Amino acid sequence: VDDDADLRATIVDVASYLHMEPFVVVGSLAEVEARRADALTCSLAVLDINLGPNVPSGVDVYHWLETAQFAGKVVFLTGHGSDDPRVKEAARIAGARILTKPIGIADLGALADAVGAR
Amino acid sequence: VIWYAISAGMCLSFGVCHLALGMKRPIQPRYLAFAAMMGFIAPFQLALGGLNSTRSMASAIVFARVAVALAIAFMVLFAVFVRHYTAAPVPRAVAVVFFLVSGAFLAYDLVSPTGLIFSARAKLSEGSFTRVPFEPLHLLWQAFNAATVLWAAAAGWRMARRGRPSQGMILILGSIALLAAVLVDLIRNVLEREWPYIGGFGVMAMTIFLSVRLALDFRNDELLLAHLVREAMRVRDQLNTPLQTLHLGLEIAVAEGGTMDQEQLGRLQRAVNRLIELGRRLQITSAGT
Repeated sequence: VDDDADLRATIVDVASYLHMEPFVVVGSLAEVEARRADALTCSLAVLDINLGPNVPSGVDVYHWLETAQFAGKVVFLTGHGSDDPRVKEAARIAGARILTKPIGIADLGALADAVGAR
Repeated sequence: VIWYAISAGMCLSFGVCHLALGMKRPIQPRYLAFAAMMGFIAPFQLALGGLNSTRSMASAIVFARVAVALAIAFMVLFAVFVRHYTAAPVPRAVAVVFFLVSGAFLAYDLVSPTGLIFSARAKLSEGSFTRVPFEPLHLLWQAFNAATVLWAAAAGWRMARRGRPSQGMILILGSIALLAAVLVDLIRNVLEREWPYIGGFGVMAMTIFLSVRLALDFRNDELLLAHLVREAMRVRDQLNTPLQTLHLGLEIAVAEGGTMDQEQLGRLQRAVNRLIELGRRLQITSAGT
C-alpha cells in the first residue's frame, strides 16, 4: 500500500520480476477495503506509513487488517525518521517491522522468502 | 542601599537564567559571557551600596577597590560578550592591548595603597564618599571604559545594518544608557558636585535591555529550530519516495538486461523531476530562512 502511483507501478514490476504473484497493489485504506478478499489472502503486507494528508495512514491499514484477521506478516515502509509520531506509533505494534525508504529488490525478495510468498 | 541590594538580586537572577540558556548544547558563548557579566556586576552593586553608606575612609577605600576590580572584570566580559553577540571583527593586536590595559588598571587598583579611584584622597573630605575626587588616572580609566562602550555601540550599529536591526539597536540603546550614566558621573567628579552616583542605574538599564533581547533571541532561535526540524521531516519523506522509485526502477532495469519501456522511463523521469523540484524549493527555503 503506497499513495505514490509511480512507486506502486514500479512495485508491480518488481513483484512480477520476483514471481510474487498474485499480489495486490493499492494506494489507500479505501482501496484495501474494496479489494478485501484479495488483500486478506496475501501472506505479506508492505504498508507505507504516510498515505497522504488527512487520510488514514499505514497504521490505520494495519489496524483494519488486524480487525479483518489478516494472517500474513506486516512490514511498514517509511520515508520518515524514527522520531516521526506515526513511525513511533507503528514501532509500538508488536511483531511489525519498519523499513526505511529506499529499499532494494533484494530486500523485497528477502521479505517474500521469509513468508514463502514466491 | 535597598536600591543596590535590589539591583544585585536582579543581576544574579539574570545571571542564573542566562547561565542555564548558555549551557544548552552546543554551548552558547554569548549567553555565558552575559551570565559572567552578571556574576561580577551583582557584587559590584553591593560594593557601591557599601561605598555610599560608609563613613570611614579606610572602609571606603576597601569598597572602592573591590568595586573597581569588579567593574574592570565586567567591562572585559562586556567586550567579550559584544564580540560574540555581534561577531564584530577585532584585530588580535587590539584585543591584546585591551586585555593588557585592563590588567594594568586591575593590578594598580589591587596593589596601590588607596586603590584606583582614591589615589587623590587628600582632596576628599571624611564623612561622605558618594563623590570621588577628580584624578587623571581615574579619568583615564573612565575614558577607557567609555571607548569600550562606544566600540560596543559601533558594533551594534554594524549589526543593525547587517540584517539584525532589533539586536543591534538594543545594544546601541544599552550602550548609550551606560555611557550617559558614566558621563554624568564624570561631569559630577570634574565639577566636584554632590550629585547622586548614577553609574549603577546605567549598568542596570543596559543589563535589562540586553537580558530581554537575549531571552527573545533564544525563544526565536528555538522556534526557528522547531520549524526547521518539521521542514526536514517533511522534506525527508518527499525525497525518499521518488528516490525509492528511482532505486527500484533502475535495479529492475539492470536485472532485466538494461531494457525499459516508455512507461518505466516516464516513471523514472518523473521521479528525477520531483527531486529537481525539491532541490529548487530547498534553495528557496534556505534563502528565505
